[in-house]
Amino acid sequence: MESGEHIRRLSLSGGSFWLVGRAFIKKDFLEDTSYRLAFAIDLVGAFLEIALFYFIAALIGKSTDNYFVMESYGYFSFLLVGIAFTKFTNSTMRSFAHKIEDYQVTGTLEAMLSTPTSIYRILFSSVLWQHLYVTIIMVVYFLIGIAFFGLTVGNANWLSVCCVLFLTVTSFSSLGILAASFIMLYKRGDPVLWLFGIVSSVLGGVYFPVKILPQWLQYISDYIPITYILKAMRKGLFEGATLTEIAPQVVALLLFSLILMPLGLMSFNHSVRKAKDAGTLSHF
Amino acid sequence: MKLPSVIKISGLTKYYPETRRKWGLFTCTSSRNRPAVDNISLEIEQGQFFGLLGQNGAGKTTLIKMLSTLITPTSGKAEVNGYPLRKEAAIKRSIGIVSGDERSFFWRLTGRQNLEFFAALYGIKSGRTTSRVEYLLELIGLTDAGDEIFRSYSTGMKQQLSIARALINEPPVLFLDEPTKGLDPLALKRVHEFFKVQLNKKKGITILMTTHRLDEAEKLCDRIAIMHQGRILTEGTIADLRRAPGFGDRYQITAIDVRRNIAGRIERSLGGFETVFLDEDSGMIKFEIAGDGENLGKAVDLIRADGGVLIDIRHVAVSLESIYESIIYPRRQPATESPEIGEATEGDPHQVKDA
Repeated sequence: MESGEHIRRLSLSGGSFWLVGRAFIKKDFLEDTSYRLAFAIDLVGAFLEIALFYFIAALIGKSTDNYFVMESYGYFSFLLVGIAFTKFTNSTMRSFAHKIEDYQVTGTLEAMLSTPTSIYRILFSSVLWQHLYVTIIMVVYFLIGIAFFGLTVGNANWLSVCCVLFLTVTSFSSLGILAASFIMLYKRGDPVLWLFGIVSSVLGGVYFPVKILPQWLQYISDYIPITYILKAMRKGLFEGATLTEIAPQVVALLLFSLILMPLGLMSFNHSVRKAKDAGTLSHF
Repeated sequence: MKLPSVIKISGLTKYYPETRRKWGLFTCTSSRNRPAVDNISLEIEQGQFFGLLGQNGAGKTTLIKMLSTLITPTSGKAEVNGYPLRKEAAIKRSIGIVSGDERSFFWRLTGRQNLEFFAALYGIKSGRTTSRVEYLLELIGLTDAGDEIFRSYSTGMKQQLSIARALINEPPVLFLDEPTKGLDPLALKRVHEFFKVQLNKKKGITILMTTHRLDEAEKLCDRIAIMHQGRILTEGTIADLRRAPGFGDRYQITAIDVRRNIAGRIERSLGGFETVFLDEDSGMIKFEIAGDGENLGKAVDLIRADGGVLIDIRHVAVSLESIYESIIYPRRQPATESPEIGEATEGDPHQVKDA
């Protein structure tokens, strides 16, 4: 039996971000690996998806030459970055809302909120594993592209790539927190994910260059973070662009993060207060 | 000696915003409806086992959630362990919550992994987690099942793990929200004993428990409050309730060969009594009187003076269920736990056969 002295020595404050973050990563890893087929299916799915786009690119490659005359990469490389990063941004954005929804449905949200750890620490910690996992999947996409489909990233400027990756996480996490605040209040049907998911795919330069869009649609694409992410990432990966060369995109992403993060946090704070007032924290 | 109060509630009220659908499509939050908790004031002393009794929807869970800072009160004040409700983290550090909801764990993790996860949320450093979790598993008797997946646990085991989680931070106050829901009789007995002996008596933990099981409240609680429609209708020890006017023990007297108008004579002599059966033609009467000795003596003397023959006198204990029902629905009289006529209880000193 444990002595009373030992009990008194226990830390009674909420867990530090490191402690809580590690606990969430371990929990999510254990949960995910308990579904044995999931990772294998993701790998096979990635391979098939890349193969699909490789052959589409091979089929229409010649007709796209006009659009890539200025770039040092072809349509397949363009597509691969678009697909891999759409996966990454969608996952980053959806993970917050998805986790809140999951915890509401499983009844664990209230149990976690009964501990002294703040809801923000819980929110940020709960997506760490998902961010890590989708980063691994994105790397796998590129490795498959390099190993099987002739993708080359020899000129990449990794500092630029890492910087854009970081800003991708901050800007899309902000949108994710905004989405989570809708889920906290309305439980289902989040407009942020829907709007950004659709608009990003159509106007963000995922499947085709933004410049083929009519001028008025190109103006709209200037207000979507993924436009800047993809442009900067393609330059950093295939052209070895330095931070100075992608400065306009980096500044735009920084601005998105600086505006969206406080907005997301304020919105989430408001939703939590509303849910506590309505007694619906654990409803789903 | 009065011990300090660890839970102080003053005028606590909760109205839930009512959401209405407009034109079958849009929802809007409208004006307040009936309060879920209505102006409750209460004090619970250190080391007390306090029961909140009430039907579903009485407001018990809302009250517990407000005290746990999971629901914001509309008005009123409360302190838990000396902390006002706005000090959320401080309150959460000093309480443990056990609910009857099995869903509040991660079903694909083992019992031990679940406890380790929640230990981190309570800020228990990695080095101490193992010994703490081991201690808790031993305390609740789940050491051998600690490495089994949570979803394979029985309802009783899930509930035990919920108790272990509530004790992770060694809280001085425990909130038990219908903690024995769905337990079989053996598990129920074990859990009751654990709450009363291990937690309340040995560790001195103050416990606030909600339940709608009166037998549970009678077995465990030092004091109870009965809640109905958000309000506390009565509060005290169960003995206090039994002593309250109208709820005390009673005597049921059966006599034959009494003269006509006996009811009037009893009324004049004793004041209040309740006729159970009266047949003026055969001279038989069965009636109940309040259970103090003086009344009984008067009644016996009256029957004898009337030339009647006492057939049966029996002590009738008012059931807690009846008291509860009478408090919630005051117009109904408390029913009694009386054996059938002739089914004399052995050893009942008040029972007189053919007096």
